[in-house]
Amino acid sequence: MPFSAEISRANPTCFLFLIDQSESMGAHIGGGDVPMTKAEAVADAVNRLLSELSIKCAKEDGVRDYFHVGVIGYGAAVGPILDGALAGRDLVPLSDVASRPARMEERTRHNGRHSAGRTVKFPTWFSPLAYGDTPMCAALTRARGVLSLWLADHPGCFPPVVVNITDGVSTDGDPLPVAQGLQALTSADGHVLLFNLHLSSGRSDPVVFPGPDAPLPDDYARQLHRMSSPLPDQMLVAAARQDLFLEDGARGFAFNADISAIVQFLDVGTQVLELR
Amino acid sequence: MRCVVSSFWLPRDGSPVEHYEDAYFPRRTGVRTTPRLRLAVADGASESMLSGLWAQTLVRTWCRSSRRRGMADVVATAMSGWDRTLVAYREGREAEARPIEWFEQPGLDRGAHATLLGVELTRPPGGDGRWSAVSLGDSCLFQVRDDELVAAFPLNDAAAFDNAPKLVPSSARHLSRVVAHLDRAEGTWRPGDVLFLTTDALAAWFLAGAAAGTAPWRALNGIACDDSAAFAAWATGERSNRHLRNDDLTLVRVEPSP
Repeated sequence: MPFSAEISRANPTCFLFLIDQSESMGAHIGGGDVPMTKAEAVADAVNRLLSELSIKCAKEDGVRDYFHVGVIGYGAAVGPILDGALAGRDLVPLSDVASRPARMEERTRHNGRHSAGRTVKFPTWFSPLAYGDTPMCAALTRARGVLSLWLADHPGCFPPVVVNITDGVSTDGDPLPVAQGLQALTSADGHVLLFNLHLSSGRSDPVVFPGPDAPLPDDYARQLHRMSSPLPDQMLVAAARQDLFLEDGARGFAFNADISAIVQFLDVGTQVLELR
Repeated sequence: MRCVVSSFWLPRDGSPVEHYEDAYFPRRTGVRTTPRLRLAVADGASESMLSGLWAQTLVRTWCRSSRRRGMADVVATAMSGWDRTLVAYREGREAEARPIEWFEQPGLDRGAHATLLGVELTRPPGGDGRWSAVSLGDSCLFQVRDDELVAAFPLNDAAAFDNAPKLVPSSARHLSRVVAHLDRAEGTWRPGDVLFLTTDALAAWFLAGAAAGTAPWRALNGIACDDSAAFAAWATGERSNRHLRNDDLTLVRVEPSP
């Protein structure tokens, strides 16, 4: 059965993020309570996801390397964008990610609108940038190269997950066939999963993991939706356990929304769900 | 009442023994002559900090408590002592010059989690032997009589296992919900019966085998008390043919007699 490989230190899988850093990402994102640019929102979301992944895999002896992680930016250049000690690396074991954030910010977290808030540590591994074109095809091609090498070394792994975050306008050609080439890569457990998060300056309602025929607000969103892998059955079951009930054929696509839930869709052992 | 107790455990394949996060009690195997015997197994959650230590705390507290103390009382006692355990853990880390890292703090704040199965065997003077069991989660009790499975608790179907079982949290503010979710069962035992307490991977294997008519208890009965090498060899074989999920394994086998 595909997508059933154990994710373990002996058989890790990988997460590869592709981050649009083009000039248009400097525009403000639609919706949300706090005004911020799309580039800032993406950096926040991916830094938070790296943080959640580290926390998910943390044990008393450190963070276990169930995942290797990479972040590739595309704008004026295409390449890895982790800062600090991890600069220049395509894929990094999660324990290195956790122990080497580029910066440790302190942020105030509010539990409810009227709470005073408390200070929490917020590690960041890269900074927002909005400069240049949107060479999405080049980024997908780069991802294919990185994952080809990974799969040669990890032929039995749970299929790698690629998360592409963009405002959707490729400037170096039609990304659909390149995306399909990336999704054609396989391990013994199944093909590479490509998820897309589309950010828009418009104030359309957020959409998360819609079905195959979902109505979407514009052509760019529709194209990214077509480029997105259907969620495997195991992920649909995991989503339901998080009270996210998705239709069969739901795609790994979101529009102006938070996709950090995908961290909880990956099985690294007994999950903790609160008793109700 | 005389009970022969055997226990076996093995970490997930590819993991060192320190990563074993199941727990069982009593730790001592062999013959017990006693009017009452408590046994327990627990499975610390992978996505939880200090879950192995919490699982050990739960099984030890259940087994060392007096008969009058039910599971709700036992869990409350374990929860009330957990803050001291955490303080000692933090002090130990400071002493090792390994302060708590940013990625550990949310897990410590959330608390530790584990499944728990507690079993009590008794034999009133002149009466039949009895067993009672209390559980939260997917650690299981099986009773085999005359080469047949006569009781399975709390799960009786291999398809019922997933990676999100109900768990006992270490935080006392969840006590009422734990109590509300506890499953209970009881029955009688006769000389010649064998009871098996197992954590989830072995339980799923056991139920799948029972449903397929392979009488899986025979393989487990064939392993001599304290022969951990035989248990490891058996588990390696079942894992390699993918009949047994790669997870921590724990088995406590009890053979009671008057």
